[in-house]
Formats: sequence, structure tokens, C-alpha cells
Amino acid sequence: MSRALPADLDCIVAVEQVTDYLEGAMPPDVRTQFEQHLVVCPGCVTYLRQIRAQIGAAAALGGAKPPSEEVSRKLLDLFRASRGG
Amino acid sequence: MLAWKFLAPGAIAPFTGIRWPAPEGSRSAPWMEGMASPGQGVHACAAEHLPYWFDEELWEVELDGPVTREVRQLIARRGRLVSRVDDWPACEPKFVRACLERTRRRVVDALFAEGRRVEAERLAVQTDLDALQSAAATIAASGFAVAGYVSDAVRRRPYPGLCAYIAANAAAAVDGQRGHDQERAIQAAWLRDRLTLDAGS
Repeated sequence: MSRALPADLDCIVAVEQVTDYLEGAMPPDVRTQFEQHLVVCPGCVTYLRQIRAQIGAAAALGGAKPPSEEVSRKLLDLFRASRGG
Repeated sequence: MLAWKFLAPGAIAPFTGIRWPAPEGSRSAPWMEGMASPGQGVHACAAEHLPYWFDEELWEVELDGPVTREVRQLIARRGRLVSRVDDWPACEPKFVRACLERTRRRVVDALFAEGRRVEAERLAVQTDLDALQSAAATIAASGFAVAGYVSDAVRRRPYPGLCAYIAANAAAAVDGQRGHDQERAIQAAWLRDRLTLDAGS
């Protein structure tokens, strides 16, 4: 379709911005553009709600326990291997 | 200063999730304070901003402190709910239908202007919305892309903000920024008139 107006925010960009939005890290004009996108995009509203719920659920789990020494070592080995040793 | 604010069910701010306290009886609602930093604060709408921010509840709000008028919203130091606008969302389907019909009219006019009389008449007289959506999508697929706005508006009619946006973009496709601005002004006037909102805010 023809586009006679400045480009709007695309969903693919909006989902990248969700964390900044939830952390209040957006400049006001960017935040307004993001919220305007939410008004016209039910899919991104759902996504935002899911992320909010996920954060809430994670917070309800309480403090995270660090993995055991053995698990940490294995993870580090795998990480190094994935980077070519 | 009086203004308006769309809120989710239960007077909840749709983006922050903060619940706005409602007035109780003759007692005013408490003030909600916004952050003092530039661009931050309590957000609300003048009449012309309303078509950009739909939600389930519409409230009249009182704003206090310095009020900044941005392109799509008012930002104030603090605000409080005054009263709920009773006719919203009851008149939402009529608003959406009005957006749809203006979009249809623009597309029909554009089809006539292109000499596509048969398609124009087909779209103009169709009363069944599913059939209208299908007919518009067929015309769009044949290369007359602007007809796609009619199909989109029908498909998205549960979402007033999206229908208003589609109508404004259809107007822009036909008549540029001027068309967009006119369509948004029509939407704001429709809401102001039907909801009997005072223009003075």
C-alpha cells in the first residue's frame, strides 16, 4: 500500500524495545511512539503482558540459587568449546 | 484544567498498570503525582488526542501544575479522576462503524476516479461486512491496494484504536498528510459530540 505518512514502529522493533519500556529507560518521545504502537497492535499488547507476567512469576520464585560448582564447570567448558576452545 | 483519560477496566492505566483511585460520593479522588523530570508526568488527552488512545473506560480528569501540550497528549505534574464518561464504551461500535464507512467512501470515490465503476458500485452497496471485506480484499489483490484499507477496517473492527488508525492511513493514502489530519479531526469531533465532552478542556 502507498505510505503517505512517516513510517510507524514495526512489531519487530517494538518487541526489541519491551525491556527498555518496562525498565522506564526510554526517552519520552520513544516511549510515546512505543505506546502508540500498542494502541494499534493487539499482538504486541499480548506480548507485553506475557513479558510482564513472566517477570512477575520469576520474581515470585524468590532468590535464584547459583548452580553447583560441577554444573558451572561443565557450562564453562561447553561455552569455551562453542567459541572454538 | 479538565481533560480526559482512557483507562483499562477498573480504572487501571493501560501501560503502567497503575490503578487510578476513583472519587467516592462527594469526595474528590486523591491526586496522582507524576515524575517531575522533563517529558514525564501524568498523561491525559485534550479532545483532539482522544482518537489516538482508546481503551475500555473514559474518564474526565483534572490536571494541575504545569501542563504541557504534546502532539498526541497532555502531560501534567499531577491529575485526578473526576467522573467516568458514561457513554463510553457503549458507543464504541458506532464509532468504529463511522470510521469504516468513511474509509469505504474514500475507497469508492478513488475507484470511481480510476474508472473502476463496477468495483466501486459493488463496494458501495455491500451491506454484509464479511462480503464487504472479501470484495475489498479482492480489489486490493488486483492491484488497487488502497481498497485493502476497507478490508483491514472490517477485519479489525473489535479494536477502535486500530480502526481509527486504518481510517487515518486510508485518508493519507488518498490525500496525504492533509487527509490524515482531517480524518483524525473528524474522529475527535465525533467523540466530542457523541460523548458530549466540553471542547474547552
